[in-house]
Formats: sequence, C-alpha cells, structure tokens
Amino acid sequence: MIIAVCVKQIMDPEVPPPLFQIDPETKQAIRSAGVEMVMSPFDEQAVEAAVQLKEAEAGKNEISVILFSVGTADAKDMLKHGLSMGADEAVLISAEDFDVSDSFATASVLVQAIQSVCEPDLILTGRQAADFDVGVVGIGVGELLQWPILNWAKSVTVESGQVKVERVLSNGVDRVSCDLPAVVSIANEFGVPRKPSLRETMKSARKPMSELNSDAFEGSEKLFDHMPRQKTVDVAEPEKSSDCQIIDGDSAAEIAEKLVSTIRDAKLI
Amino acid sequence: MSEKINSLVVIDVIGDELVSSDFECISAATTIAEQKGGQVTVLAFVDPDTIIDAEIAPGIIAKGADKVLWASKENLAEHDLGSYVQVVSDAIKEVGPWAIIFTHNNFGGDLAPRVAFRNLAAIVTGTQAIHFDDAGEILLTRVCYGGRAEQIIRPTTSTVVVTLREKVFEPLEDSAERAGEISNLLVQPQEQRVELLEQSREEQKGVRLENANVVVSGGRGVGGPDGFEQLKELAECLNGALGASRVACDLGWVPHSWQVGLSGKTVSPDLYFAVGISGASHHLAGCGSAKVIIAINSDRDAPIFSAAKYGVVGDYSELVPALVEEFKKSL
Repeated sequence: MIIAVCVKQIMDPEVPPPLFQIDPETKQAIRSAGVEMVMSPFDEQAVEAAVQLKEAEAGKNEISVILFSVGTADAKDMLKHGLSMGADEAVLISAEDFDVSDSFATASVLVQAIQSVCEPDLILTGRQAADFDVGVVGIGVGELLQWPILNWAKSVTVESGQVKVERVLSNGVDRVSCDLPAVVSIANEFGVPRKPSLRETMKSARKPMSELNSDAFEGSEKLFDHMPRQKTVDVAEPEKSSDCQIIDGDSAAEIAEKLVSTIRDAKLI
Repeated sequence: MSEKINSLVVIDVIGDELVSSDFECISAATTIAEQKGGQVTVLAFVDPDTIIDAEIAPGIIAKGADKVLWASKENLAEHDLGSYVQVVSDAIKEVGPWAIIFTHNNFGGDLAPRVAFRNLAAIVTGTQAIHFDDAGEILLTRVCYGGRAEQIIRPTTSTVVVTLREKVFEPLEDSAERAGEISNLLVQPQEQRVELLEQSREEQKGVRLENANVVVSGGRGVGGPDGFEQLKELAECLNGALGASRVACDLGWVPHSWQVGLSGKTVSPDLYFAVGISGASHHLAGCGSAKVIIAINSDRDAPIFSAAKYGVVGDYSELVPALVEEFKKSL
C-alpha cells in the first residue's frame, strides 16, 4: 500500500511578532535572520498520521509513505525532516517551473506529479498550510482525482480496502469510512507529531529524494489546467491600535471594583 | 463596468432555523448587487420534512434575497458533502452567478472548495471584506499568516467561490415588503461514497459561544482544567459562555469546541475576557471583532494587551473570584 503525503515548506509560523514583516514587493513574509523554514505544522501531523499507519500495519501490510512538495530547492531540508520522521521517499516538484500562485494550480501540479510517480491508495494532507491558511489544496487534489474526501480527521485507520476516520466538527465528531483510494485531511486535533530520533535522522540521509521539473511532464498528457485562477493584489499587516488602559490597585478586590465600575460606566453589561 | 453580476448564496438549513451566518452571506451578496446590479439567489438545502414556503423562504427574502431555490436533503447525506457538489453545480448552471458564497464553517469550508474545483472557479476562503477598485473590479480580503496579515485577491475567472468568516458582515434589517421568487431545485439521487458509522454531538449547555454577549476565555496561563472552573463562575454570573485558546484545547484541558481562533470559532461579544491568553494572532483572528477585550495576564509584555481595551497585570486566580464577587454585588 502506498500513502502519499502532500507537505509544504513555510516560514516558522511561531515567529515572534517583532520579526514578522511583509515584503511589499513579493507580497510574502520576509524571512528575517534567525527565523527558520519549517514543514507546515498541520502537514507535519499528516506525516505523523502516515507513519503511524505504517507502524500499525507493519508485518501485515507493507506501507510505503511518499512525501510530495511543490517548493524551491531549499525545501529539501524540510523533506529530510519528513523522512527522519519515518517517511520512505520524497519528491520535490520545482516551484520555479510552474506558476503555483494559487490552490488550483498547486493541486493540479501535485496530482500530475503524484500520478507520474506512484499509484497511491491514500493521500494525506494537513487541514491547511499555516502561512496562507487557505485549506483548499487537499480537497482540490481529491476533486481532480474524483476520489472521496474526508476532511479534518483526528484519527485514521485503514482496514480491508477502507479508511476510517474521526472527523472533528464544531459541535462534535463524526466517525465515517469510505473505500480506498481516498483523500484525508488531518485536523490539528490529531496530536503532536514525533521528534525524529538521531538514528532515524541518520537513516533518512540514505532514503531516496527525487526532483521533478516541468520536463518530467513533457510528452505526457497535461491532465489538468495548471493556470492560476486568481491574483494576489496585496498582502499587508493590519494596523494595530494599542490604547490599553491598565487597571491597577493594591488588592485584587480593589482592582475588581475598579474594573467592574469601568465596565458598568461603559454600559457593556 | 455595466455588466450585471448575479450571486448565489448556499446555505444549509437545519430544522426550521435560519442562523445569523446565513443572513451575513446574503448581506455580502447584496453588497455586490448594489454596486453591480444583478440578483441574489439563495440555494437552501432543507430537511425533507421542512415546509419551505411557510416561513423559511419568506425569511430569506426579507433579508435581501431576490430568489430562493430550495433543495431537499432527502437524497443527500450530510456526512458526505461530496453528494452536494452536483446539486450546487446545477444551481450554478441555472443562476449563472459570478460569486458563489458560503459561510466558512464545517459545511462551507468542506463543500466550497469541491464546488470550485468541479466548476473550474477561483476560490477565496475566509473572506472578511468585499470591495471594489477604481475600475469597479471586485476585490476580496482575507486573513493569512495566522491572522497576522491580510491578503487582497482579485479573481481572474468568470466565477468565484467565496467562503465568508462568520460575524464579519452585518445581516440586513428585515424588510417584510420584499417580494421574491421561490422555486424547487430537483435533487437526483447522488452517489454516496462515505458511510457514517457513529455520530457524537456535544450537548449545548447554557449560552452558545458564537452568540454570547459575554465570553470568558482561558489560555495556557490558566494552568489546567481546575482554573477553568473559576472562569466558569465568572461566565455564569454574566450569563456568558466559556472559550479557550488553541493551546488550552490542545493540552486537553477543555473540549476543542471551545476554541476561539482561526482554526476554531469566531466570536464577537460585547465583552471578551482573555484570561492567561498571550494573544497570538491566530487567537485574535477569532475574537478581534469583540466590542471590548479585557486582558488578564501576569505578563505585561503579552501581545494580548495591544488588542485589549482594558488590562489587568496579575494573577487571575485572585482577580477572577474578586470579579465574581463584585459583579454579584450589583446584579
């Protein structure tokens, strides 16, 4: 069985506020000194889900986990991280070769790349990339392939040609199943992904990593429209107002009294 | 630009109840219709035993729709939104909209991207503003980078699927005199590929988080589930709801359904208490539209203070009981 996991390299989303800045030219966050590029945390959870499936099925069902990413050459480090987590193989699709400025184009390129490399039974993605927070590529991959799509899974199991997931909804949980092949997006409720051990990290250096550029698709029929359908006009930081009035006092009781009377005077309750 | 632009709003009606987010979508579509001309059609998915003509359709029209197309969920499965895609696509054919508008929730967030890909449309998720440039072209604003920045997008296609963040657009006032057309969209049995094995729903106790006028939220600084008991007392005495930051949910202190933020709920109460919450952008994205935020945090440098109107620097476990006592005094 083959599990393909779609992952994206992004700037560390936990970067402290003073280091966060948008470049007006590229309309993207500037990578300041000391800020790392990482695998989008939701995608990291998707890799974790794939590796857990591989471990659970070990001995019964040989599962191979292949990572796919559309990115620049430096995304190889991020893919190595995924290999250290336990994935078997990684494929980098050169972002320079395609205009992947929107989810439509990205999903099209991913599907074409996945199909040129393997025939997966299951495709996993994070619920959204933690940079642009769009949450569309995974669903798009499923739609283009016309596979069933199960969104926001907090647990995944596979059994006799079926995938079972628990879907996290705002008012509860649905446990659902469908036949493979399918696309499953992993919710942030899935849990904390593992930290790769030194041993796994050493092993990962010997795992295959390949690169695909537009030549790879040459000659093969272009399956999907790779054209973006929208244009980013601007990205900017919203203005912040900071006129916080700090309420102070000698005791909790005194502060509470002041705060409550302020709230009452402002007719907020 | 003189070309008229139609919009299609897609809503999921549960029982007989229309909710604020339905009206927010209609309001957004009306913004486009006012600028561009064109009609606002609402595609309403309704339960098989719901009588659409009696109340629901007039309620939708009164809020600004020109047409209501209703589709019965009889042949569909709510746990398999794949089965809805063809129905929405049929409605798109019938209406010829430029914009197809959903609420960004479990329904819209899941269904809208499928509809976009099936219809080769652009898709803009988490939209929080619709505006027009000097040439009259429509621009959509959404938040990105975990709430730290805003992205302005111009779709380049003849149709665009849009999901709207809740509580951003203001519903229009009811206008009982408005007239509109009501018709049924026939739903063919759809292939269902997903099987529902088990459904668990959280029981709603007290005020709904999304609708509460007062929300008391806790974060890492609350220290554990016990601390939330104190917050509960504060929420209860103000008839408010409890919320939490992502960290508090991820640590398992409170259910995930309490999460306020970019990957949780959007709230816009009059009063929002942020207790022991540092104020990461993704949290502020969920509560930034509160009228007043009150920050209670022991760290004066926490970013929450730049979003708050009032702040208290100190130990919440002393302050919160004092607040409860003070509020009770004068209620």
